[in-house]
Amino acid sequence: MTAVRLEEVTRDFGGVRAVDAVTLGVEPGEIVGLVGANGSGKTTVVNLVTGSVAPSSGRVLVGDVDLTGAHSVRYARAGVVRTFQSLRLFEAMSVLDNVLIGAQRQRRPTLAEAWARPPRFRRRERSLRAAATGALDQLGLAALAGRPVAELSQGQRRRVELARALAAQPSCLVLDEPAAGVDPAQMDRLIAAVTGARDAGCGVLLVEHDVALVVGLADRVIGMAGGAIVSEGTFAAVSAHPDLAPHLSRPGSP
Amino acid sequence: MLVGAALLPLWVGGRYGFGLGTTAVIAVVTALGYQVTYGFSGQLSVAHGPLVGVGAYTVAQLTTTHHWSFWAALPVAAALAAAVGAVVGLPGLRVRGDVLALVTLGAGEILQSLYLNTQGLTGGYQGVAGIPPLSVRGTYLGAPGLYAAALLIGLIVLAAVAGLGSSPLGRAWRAGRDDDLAARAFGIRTGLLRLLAFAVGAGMAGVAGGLYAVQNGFVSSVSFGLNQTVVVILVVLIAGQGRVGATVAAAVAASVAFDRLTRYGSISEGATGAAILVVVALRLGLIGAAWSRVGATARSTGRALTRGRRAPDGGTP
Repeated sequence: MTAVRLEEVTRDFGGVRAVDAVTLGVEPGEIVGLVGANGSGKTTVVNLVTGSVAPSSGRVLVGDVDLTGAHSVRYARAGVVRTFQSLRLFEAMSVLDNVLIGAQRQRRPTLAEAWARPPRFRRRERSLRAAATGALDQLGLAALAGRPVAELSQGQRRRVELARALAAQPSCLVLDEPAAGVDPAQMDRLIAAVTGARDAGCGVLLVEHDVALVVGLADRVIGMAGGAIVSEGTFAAVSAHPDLAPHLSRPGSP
Repeated sequence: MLVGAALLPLWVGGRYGFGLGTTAVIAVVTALGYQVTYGFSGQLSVAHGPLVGVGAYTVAQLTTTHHWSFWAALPVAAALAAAVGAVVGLPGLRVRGDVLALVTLGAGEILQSLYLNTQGLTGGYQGVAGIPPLSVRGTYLGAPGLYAAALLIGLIVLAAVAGLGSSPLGRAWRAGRDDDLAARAFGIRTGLLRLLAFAVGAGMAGVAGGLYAVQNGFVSSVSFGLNQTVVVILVVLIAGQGRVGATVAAAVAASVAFDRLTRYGSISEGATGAAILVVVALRLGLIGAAWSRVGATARSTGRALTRGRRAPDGGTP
């Protein structure tokens, strides 16, 4: 069973082919690095595996269920959870409430439970809080739990994005540039959190410009150019590809 | 603060004071409903006043023509207003912001025109008169009794709104309000939840309308127009988006202010206009912003007192 799988997926925007006959799978318990220049189709792949964009042709499978063309809500409910490169936090909410939205992914909130508050409501609410607090602790954000996210620095906000996704306990975690703007002192926490999710059986798709992070984290690397997969394997093998080498030639630089 | 609001009639004094108290409770219930629609789920509805009318006409008709008791009519009024609200809120599935405001403005005008033109149901321009005052087991309650009943209903609505605010549903509403796409990426059906928020807010407007009908004994369309909507929006903006406690304070304050100003004739409209200008200039909401300021100051003072270091996680702010 794959965490998420694209089969021969093509996506056109107007006359532009953003993704061209791409087949890729992320298995449970592995981190797949996705690299390539700007405009190579990485972000469209992220949007395809999370259901934000529907394929023009081909199939998208989440845990062996065909979700091609389904609403992104169904992808989320099926276990595909993402972070956003552009940082899409709930701006007027506290850090804790943002992460609670992740934690309550599998809940269908109802009026009845909000008003009747049966004992199991309190138990569930406590377990949501425990999951959220756990994710915040993992990323060193516990002290910020009550703060409005609007007050945070870029790096802190990036970590809240990851905490929100981890609290959702995904079966497939899609990370779009999770390290951009993160304080180097906090990078170890971020790496530990992502590898922790992998070791718990989560499949991770990692889109990242930070070459060191891809080398350090990814079990397998996929290289894209011009909307197609041009190379697949170890980072060393992928970065040697002529279409990719110019963009991936700075290992070790932040 | 709640106790202060509840004791308002004693401060103002007498029969008149209880009347003002009931009016204030009606304003609080109306504004709390709008906090669900606008505050929690972020829908700038401009149909709230006409939705109050649905509840008022329902209680008026059921208690006069059909001789129902107020207590039986009120839940029906709430349910009917919620149902009409769900229809008015349908565009919220697709549009938000200024477009939704315009669409709901149109829907509110349609309701207004129905109030004026469905003679059999609403009495047209004459309205519905002769609504019996509130009674319990055949004895009519005076102004203090009505106030006590309104206060009880108001507290139930307050508990209901506060309960929503602190529930997973409240969080899901806020998430959809702040970032629809991100909320959907976490499994929240934002469109359906917005419709639910519209219906719940309208249901509370219906409760307020029912109270209004029994308090005044007479309802007509002039009480449920755009002017009333604007006042509700103003109260909620003064309180701050989604702030429940501040909404109670703002609605009570607005009721008292209107009561004083109406003695000087049409100055109240001018005052409303001026207040809108001030509130829009301050955007955040007066009371909400002040509370945030106090909270932030308290937090930073607390941090300075408890430890010498700054930036609790070692990061640069």
